[in-house]
Amino acid sequence: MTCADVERLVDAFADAELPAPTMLAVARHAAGCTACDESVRGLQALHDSVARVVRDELDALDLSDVWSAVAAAADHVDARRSWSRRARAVPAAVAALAVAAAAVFWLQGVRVVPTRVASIGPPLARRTLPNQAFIDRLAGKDLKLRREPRSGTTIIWVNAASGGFGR
Amino acid sequence: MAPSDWELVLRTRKGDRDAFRELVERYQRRVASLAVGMLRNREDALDVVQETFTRAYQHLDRFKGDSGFYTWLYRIAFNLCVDQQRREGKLGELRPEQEETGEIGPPLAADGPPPDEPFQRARSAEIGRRVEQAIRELTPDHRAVILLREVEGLSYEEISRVLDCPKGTVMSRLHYARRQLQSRLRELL
Repeated sequence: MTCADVERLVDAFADAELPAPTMLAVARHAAGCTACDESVRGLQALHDSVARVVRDELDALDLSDVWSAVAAAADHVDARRSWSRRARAVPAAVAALAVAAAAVFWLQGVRVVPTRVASIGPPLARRTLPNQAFIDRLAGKDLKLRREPRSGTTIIWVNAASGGFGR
Repeated sequence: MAPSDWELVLRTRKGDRDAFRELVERYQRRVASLAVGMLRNREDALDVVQETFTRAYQHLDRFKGDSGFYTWLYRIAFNLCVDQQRREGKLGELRPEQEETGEIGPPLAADGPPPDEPFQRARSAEIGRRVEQAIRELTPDHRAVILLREVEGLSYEEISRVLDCPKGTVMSRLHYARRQLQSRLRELL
């Protein structure tokens, strides 16, 4: 171990960051070398001065209110979290409700439709009145038909040129 | 036996506010030490301490427990200190040539009272003032390394985690910061 080696390693030596054998080698060298010993002591003095200055300043600092301030801020954090949780929960609830409603309607549809068909019978459009069928057969030749849905009557127009009778 | 930091973190996550109070009381002094060393202003330092713990509470789920809780706290505190200084325009960076050449200006003159008994207290105060001044003249990165090592006693590995830089960078910054302080305080130490 030379003075140049110690100069290179002195910081790590002062911080006890060297492997044990290297620590021992530096310590042995410094014990017999005034310059290297002074270098090590200088770092120790610097450490003491910096630590003392900061600790003096720290002692003048009143930390008694830190917790109350942090607790108040933590309350705000919790309140924000609670709101955001609710905000996230609302769309999920709406989606769940929609799915449930769709499921209910679907199930109702499956159950109700056959019973309705069974109770009502054949569709209304297929049901024709007896005289209506006769009128329909005549339509398109010398007759024109106009149905009046409000009164439920059918107006029949007869082509006079063909020698038939009028309205 | 006192619960470990990790146990307190887990309890806090489950809503135990007393567990977080214990963490605050356990580490508020250490965080304050870094803040006061970085900012040199008690009011700002107190703000940083409170904000550090508030952020820690807010983002506690991000702490995975793979490093010390206090290194995680220091990291939050350091970033807040840098932000604070940036806001106030106090981020005094060294010129690049200073960093390269290692020229750090003339040392302060030793013009304090002699170390005789009646002047001992005054001299001690004078040394404190000059050390404080010398620390303040370091860049934030160098100042943080000095404070974390000399005051907090963190290992190089822990400092590298706090400052998010390689261990080699910690060593070189520490070496440089110490030489700068020694040069400034040559006549006093």
